[in-house]
This record gives sequence, C-alpha cells and structure tokens, in this order.
Amino acid sequence: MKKYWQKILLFLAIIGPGIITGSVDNDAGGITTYSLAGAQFGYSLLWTLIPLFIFYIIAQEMCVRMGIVTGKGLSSLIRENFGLKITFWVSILLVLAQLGNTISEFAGIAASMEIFGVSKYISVPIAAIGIWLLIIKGNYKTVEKVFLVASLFYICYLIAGIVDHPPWGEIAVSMIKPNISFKSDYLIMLIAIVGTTIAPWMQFYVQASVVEKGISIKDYKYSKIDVVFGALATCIVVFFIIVLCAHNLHTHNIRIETAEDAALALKPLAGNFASYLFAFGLFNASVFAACVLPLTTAYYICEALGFESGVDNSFKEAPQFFILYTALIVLGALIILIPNAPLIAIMYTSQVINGLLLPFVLIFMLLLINNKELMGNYVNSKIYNWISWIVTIILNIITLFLVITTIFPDIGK
Amino acid sequence: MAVFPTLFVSNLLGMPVRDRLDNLIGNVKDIVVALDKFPRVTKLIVNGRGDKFVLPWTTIGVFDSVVLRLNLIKPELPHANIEENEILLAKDLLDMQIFDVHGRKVVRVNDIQLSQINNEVRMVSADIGFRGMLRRLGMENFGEKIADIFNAKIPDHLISGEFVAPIKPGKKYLHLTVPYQHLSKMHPADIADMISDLNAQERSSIIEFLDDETAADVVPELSPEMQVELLKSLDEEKAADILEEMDPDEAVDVLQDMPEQQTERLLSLMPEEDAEDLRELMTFDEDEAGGLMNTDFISFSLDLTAEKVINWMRDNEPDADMIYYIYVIDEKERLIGILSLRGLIIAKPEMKLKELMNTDVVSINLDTKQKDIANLMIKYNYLALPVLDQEQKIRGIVTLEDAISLEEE
Repeated sequence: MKKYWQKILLFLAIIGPGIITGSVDNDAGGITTYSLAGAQFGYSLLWTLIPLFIFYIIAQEMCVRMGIVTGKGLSSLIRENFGLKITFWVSILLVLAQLGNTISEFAGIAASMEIFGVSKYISVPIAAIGIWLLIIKGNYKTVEKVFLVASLFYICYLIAGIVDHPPWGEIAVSMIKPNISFKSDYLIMLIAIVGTTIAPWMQFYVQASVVEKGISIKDYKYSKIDVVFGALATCIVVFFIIVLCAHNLHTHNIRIETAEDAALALKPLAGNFASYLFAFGLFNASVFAACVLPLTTAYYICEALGFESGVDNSFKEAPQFFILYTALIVLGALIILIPNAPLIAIMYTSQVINGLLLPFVLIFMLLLINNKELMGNYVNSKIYNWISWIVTIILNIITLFLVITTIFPDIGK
Repeated sequence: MAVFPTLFVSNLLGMPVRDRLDNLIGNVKDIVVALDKFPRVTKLIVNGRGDKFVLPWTTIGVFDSVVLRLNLIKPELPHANIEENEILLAKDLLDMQIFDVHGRKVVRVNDIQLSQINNEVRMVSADIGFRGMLRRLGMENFGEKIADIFNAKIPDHLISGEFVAPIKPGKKYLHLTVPYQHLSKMHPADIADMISDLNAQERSSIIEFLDDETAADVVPELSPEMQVELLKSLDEEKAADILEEMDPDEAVDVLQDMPEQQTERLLSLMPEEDAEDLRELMTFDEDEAGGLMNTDFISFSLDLTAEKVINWMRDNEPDADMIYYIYVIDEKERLIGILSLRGLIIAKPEMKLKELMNTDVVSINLDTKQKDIANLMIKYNYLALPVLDQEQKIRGIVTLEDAISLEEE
C-alpha cells in the first residue's frame, strides 16, 4: 500500500509538461476550429480523434525522451546538430508562427470578453499588460502551477457537453464507424483539425519543460504517462466541443464563423449556462496560451542563437530575450485593436507558416532521436521507427494540403 | 608548412582538398585540435566520395583561400588517429555552448578563428557575436551594407582562445583545458550563475570537476531545486564530500528537501561527528535559531593569551564566518564573554582573554525566531550571534547573512 502511494506521489512530481502542453494546445485557434467542425459537419469528423490521439502521443513522446536523455531543448539540439543556417530559418518561421498564434489568443480574449459585455479595447490591453507583468515580475514556477490549475477549467467544456444531453448512441457509432466524405470542404476541415492539434511549438515546449524539470531517465515511464494524459485531456476537450456544437448548431443548420458565434448561438439552444461556460472556457484557454507562447518562444530562440535568456536577468543582460518576448505580446495585442485589421488573412498566413514548419520539425526530431551518439540506447526501436516515419509522412502530406488549400481556397471546388 | 592566413573555421569547412597532382581528395569536414592554452590544430578530417581521411595538418602544402593542396599524392596519404586530448572543432565546439570564462557567461560559438603562431596554427578565438552569425549565414556583406546605411558598424565579439571552455559532460576534457583552471578561480557566485544556465548533466559534470571546497561554496548559491537535483545526480561519495564541506546550516537546507532514504545514505557516508551535527540541526525548524545556526564556531578558554589565540588561528585557518567574534568560555564550557577580532588583534600579545573580553554578551536561544534574531543584530550591531542552550553552552552561531537571507523569501 505504501509503495502504491509513493508511486502516485512520484508521478505527481513528474507530471506537468505533457498536461500543460495538451492544455495550451486547446487554445483559441483550436477551439474555433473544433467549433466550426462540429457546427458544419456534425459528428462525422469525430472519428479523427482516435488516430489524432495516437499521432499526438508519438510526436510528444519522442520529444520527452530526447529531453530526458540529452538534457537539452529541441532548439538547442537542432542548432548543435544541423548548424546555424537551418536554426536561423527555423527560428524565423517559429517566431512568425508564434506571432500568428499569439494574435489568435488575443482575438480569443477579445471575443470571449465581448460575450460578457466587455469591449475589446478594455479587455485586450488589460490582458496584455497583465500577462507581461505576471511573467516579468512574478515567478514562472508559480505561474506554471497556476496554469496547471487553469487546465482544470477545461472541464467547462465537459460540463457544458454533459448537461446538454447529446445522443450518445449516435456519437458512439460515429466514433468507431468513420463516415468519411471526400468533399473538399470536409477534407479541408479534417486537415485543419490535425494542423491545429499537432503544432510545431508543442514539440519545443514539451521538451523544454522536461529539461527544465530535470527529469531523469528512471522516471521516464512517468513522463510517458504524463504525455498520454496530456493527449487524452486534449482529445476529450476536442470531443466535447465538437459534440456540443454538432448537437446544437449542426442539427439546427446554424452556420458559424468564429468561436464567439458558437458561444452566442449556443445561448438560445443550450441555455445561458452552456453559452457562458463556453465563453469562459475560451477566455481561460486564450489567456493561458497567451502567457505561455510568447515566453517560451523567446526562450527557444535565445537558447538556439546563444543569447542570454530568462526573466531572472535584467534587460541589459538579456536584451534579445526581453525584446522578443515583449514584441510578441505587444504586436499580438495591437493587431487585434486595429479597426478592420485583416484578421482572417493573418490567421491564414499563420496557419501556412505552421504548416511549413511542421514537416521540418518532425523530420529533425526523427533524425535526432535516431542519432546513437546523442541517444545511446534510447534511439527508436525498429518498429517504433517505422510507425513514427509513417505518422510523419502522413502528417506532412496533410499539412502540405493545408498549406495548399489555405493559399488556394478555391481548389477542388 | 604552408603559409596560413588568419581565417575562420566557417571559411574552411567544405573547402576542396586536392593532392599534389591536383586530384580531388574531398572536402574539409572537420578540424582537429589538441587542447592547450590556445588549442593547436593537428589534423584535418576530409570527406571524400565514400572515404573519410584523417590527415596530419603537416600534409598541407599550399593554402590559397579557395583550396587546400596537399604535399602528397593520394595513394601516399597517411591515416592519423584522433588522440585522447583532441577535440573536433566543428563537431565539439562550433554551435555548442561554452563558458566565456572572462565574460562569465554561457554563450554559443558562432565561428572559430584560427591563426598561425610560430609555425603552428592555433585556435586564437571563438566568435560569439553578431558578425560571426552573419558570416555563417553567408550574409556578412549584406549586413555590412545595411549597417552602412545607418552609419553603424557591426561589432566583433571574439573571446580569446584561452578563455574558451568547452562544456562537455565527462571529466576527461575538463582537466586538460586551461580555461577550466580559470574557472575554478572564479567567485563561487559567478560559477553558480554560469552553471545555472546549463542542463542538469552538464551542471553535475562541472561540479564533479571542481574540488570539494569550491563545489561546497558554489552549491549553496544555486536555487534550492537545483541543489537537490544536483546532489541527487552526483556520485553519492562526491555528494557526501561536498555536503561535509558546506556550512552545516546550508547542508541541512538541502538535505531536508531530499528523499529521506537518500539523506540517510549520504549522512552515513560522512564522518560520524559531522553526520551527528547535521542530524541534530535537521530536527530544528528552519526559521528558528536552531535551524539557522552554523555549528562551526570557535571558542576559547578564558586563560588563553591573545598571542596563543592568534597562533591557533594561523595554524587552523578557520572560515571567515567563524571568526567575526572570539567566544570565551569557562571550565564548564559556559559562555562568559566575547571579544571582537579587532579587539584581539590590537591587544598586547601576553594579555589573557579574561582581561580583554566584554562580559555583556548578547545571545539567543535555540528556539529564537529568525525575525527576532535579525532585529537583535540590527539593534546591537552584531554580525553574528551565539546560540546558547539551557546550560548556557554555545551550540552554534547565526550570522547576519543567515538571519536576513531567509527573511527575504
């Protein structure tokens, strides 16, 4: 009995990286995509969650393993093994992609607060300054604990979904019996779900957190469980968002464009409670991700390029770090406040950049994890390697389609 | 030996290598240096089609900035081995993190400068600046044009080869590298600052390299989490040695955060007396005198002369913390007086402590709260206070630093 408790305690000390990654993954962009998927296609995309769950775990597990064995972040490993040129271009793409993501987080903050009647000209600046101060003046360790608790708020979607009483039988069938359509907008939505769920930054993030925690190889099994939990939490939230929107919006043929539309449309159909829960979930997710993304991006970039990083330094000691961190937040917030800013175009561009980056990141990961000098006995096993290459190729094909369909939206119509 | 201009490794990598008859051997893959104050280039690694050559540097006949020409022909090429004390510049140093021992920072190497010194080519500096980065990206000229527009100059940031300390887990390299001797002479707080930027494996390999005493000064400067993680990852013998050298109050702070079984194992590796002291300290609260105090202190019997006390100190070299004050005890080891270091030094050598001491002693008890301790120190202007038990015996001292550092948190 005592042993059992010790194991649980040990697990609790190790968890975090995987679950936080999973939570940040369900950010404003994610919630929007999942809402649209449910509203537009009902339950017919639910089956994708099962392969997605597996892909997600495979990608994250490799990064966790690399972090534990090498003690280095992904960006460091890329720099040290593939040189400065590649690192430089990856960094540029990563910063642009993260800027796009940060913008969408602030858009999420603006949208969700508007549902509660707060103007974006109030909510966005307050959130931006608050986030900036929290990280600069606060202690990241504490902030991370707050985040871990914040992850619990994703239960909002669970509750909203359950109180809604959707037709569980029908849902169960569509989970296991894929109802695949080959219409182009169905495929585009499928690709968008994959693209928003498996993003390049997550790989950097989870590896950096594992390194930061200094997890040792004997605790690797707990980290694996952490990753599986993270994947599970992500997929459950995605599941409930899709179900909620499918049950209420799809069945009534309501077309929506944004997550805000979804929250508002839910009001008359699922009641005030569900609508507010949905909006609060969106707010929480957006703030959470807006805290994590700019900070961690500044870390990876500075680490790879050899600049001093960390909020413990003064501005004079780590200028690049502070400039990058501040610029991401300021730009992200400002663009939301510009009247008539081409938000849709910005979102599309950010999606394309994410899509361009992912294949490189996945291929670098596979090359690194199979490097005997780095990983010793912890390189991929033969079967695992086959599976991960196949997953990588599938993901790469999907993101390639995502890029093409984003740039040429009329293709296939 | 070819005349060799000052140039960068980035220029050299990929450069074609031809033999005496102009046959292409391959392209430069890496450059081997022997570790030294300014590491000396010894070999060249050349990637040919399907072949890999490790050629002694002396086989290079002519160097003309676009091609390296050997003074041998292909079939004659010798094969050299890479020795224990050698590293590969591109693989082991370029793009890697290093200690800039002079600048006291962890930085990344963007490029490496080689230069000829007395018939030998040596690594003279590591480029950690923006210019090196642009050169690697093939944008140096472009960068300069941009800088010209703004009438600015791109700064060079080179650190001299003698201050370049490669960070590599494993002791082998560290002992051979001259910069590491600079490193161990740095202030412990600076060393701690630098190794905080490293990952856990690198951190423990640096600590293993340092002697126990230096390591014991560095460890308390790290964050509490890092201290625990570090001591867990070190070899237990080494961890116990470092703990033994640490101030007891600081050692206790770490031990209290470690898993119980491991604490016991570490304590069992220490001399019985030290382990007993630590065990006792661990029973006190962290914010009471008993938990804050240091059990390393010195006390003298009241009949000793000033000269004898000073001689004792010369022979025993006590730590700085221990000799703020000289505590005077009677035959039952009870504290009866105190003498400042200044008072001791200016006294006539033959005077006895009992004539010199001040009997109006400010002391605290084992359960005095840290806040009260700090207030007492400020009120009476003391740098350290003795901690007495119920029998008026000194059990330890609390320094101002100990009393205040905890209060800040």
